[in-house]
Amino acid sequence: MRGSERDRIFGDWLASHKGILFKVVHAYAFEHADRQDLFQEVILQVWHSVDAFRGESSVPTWLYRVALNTAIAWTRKEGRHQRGKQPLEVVEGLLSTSSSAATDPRVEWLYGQIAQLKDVDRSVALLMLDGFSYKEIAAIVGITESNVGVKINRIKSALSGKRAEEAES
Amino acid sequence: MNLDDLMEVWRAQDASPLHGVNERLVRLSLQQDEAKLQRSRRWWRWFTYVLTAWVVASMARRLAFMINRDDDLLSGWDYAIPLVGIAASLLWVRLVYVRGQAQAAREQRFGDSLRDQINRQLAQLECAASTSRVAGLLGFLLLPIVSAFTIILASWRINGRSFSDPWLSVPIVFMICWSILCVGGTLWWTRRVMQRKTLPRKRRLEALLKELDGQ
Repeated sequence: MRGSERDRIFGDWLASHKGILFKVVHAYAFEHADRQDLFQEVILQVWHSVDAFRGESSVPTWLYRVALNTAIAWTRKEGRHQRGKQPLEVVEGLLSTSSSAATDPRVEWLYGQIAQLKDVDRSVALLMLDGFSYKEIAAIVGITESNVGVKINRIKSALSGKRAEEAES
Repeated sequence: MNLDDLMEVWRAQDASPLHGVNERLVRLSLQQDEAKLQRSRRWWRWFTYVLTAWVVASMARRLAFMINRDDDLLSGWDYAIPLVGIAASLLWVRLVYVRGQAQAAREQRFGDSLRDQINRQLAQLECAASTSRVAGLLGFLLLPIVSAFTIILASWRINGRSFSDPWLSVPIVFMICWSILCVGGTLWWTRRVMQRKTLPRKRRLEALLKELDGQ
């Protein structure tokens, strides 16, 4: 693939689906600096993945796959906060806070609940919330559909229980 | 508020994203990453080529000297020294190449799912672990050491020195000490990296695989 073609595809993906990348970054990194770091890592992996995309899955599925793999590897990597591998101004400026960002407290609440899940369950929760089917989740995460079902039931009851608990208090 | 309402709220993020992206800096970051990757690959490629070319050329030069001298001092074994050096360096390059290809092929067997990604990373760690084992490390370091030895021996014989010359023992002893230091140092370093980084990371990945299986 030519460089300009890859540039164009990457630009299109970023323009249309950056929300997916933000969701993954917010679910796996909690400090501002960590979010910048993870976002940069995700962006680089998405860029490198353009050549490997064969169109066998939809673009959102592909992006979720790349972003989740990167985020989980990032959380597991030792010394992940290696600042200074890029000039500071580049790292700091990649993400800017949107004016309408996270105004809905329910979204914040959801991120808070997702943050308490295990790494794999967090991936499943993100995909579930975005309406992916069991089959798609199983393909992205690499587990059986029945295992996806078990995990989703567990996540759903945890979320509902927490919500009910908070409503009572 | 039930789960369906929560999902609706969640999806509303797509309409008003949490962040903006500085596209100019994203491009810059990508360019830097690409340049860094290319630089590193280029550097390693040239390092291997230049080192091998230097060893092979210096051996060929010594061999040419020996053939042109054509005196009675040199025996058949002396001609074998540079040939062994050339063979050792070519074998080493071949080993590096084949190892890289085999690892790439091993990694390509895996797909794109999270499980495959974890298995791919485990395969990379396995490769690092096998290199750090004594036998693997000796095999990898022995060939450059043999090349270095043959350069000294060939130079020695070209200068008309006999193997029984007591002064030969000085560079030989130096080379042996240097080799032991190199092998020992590399062994110590790789074991340290293995204990502190590779094995803990491997354990974390294996735990993640178990988590995937719901254990």
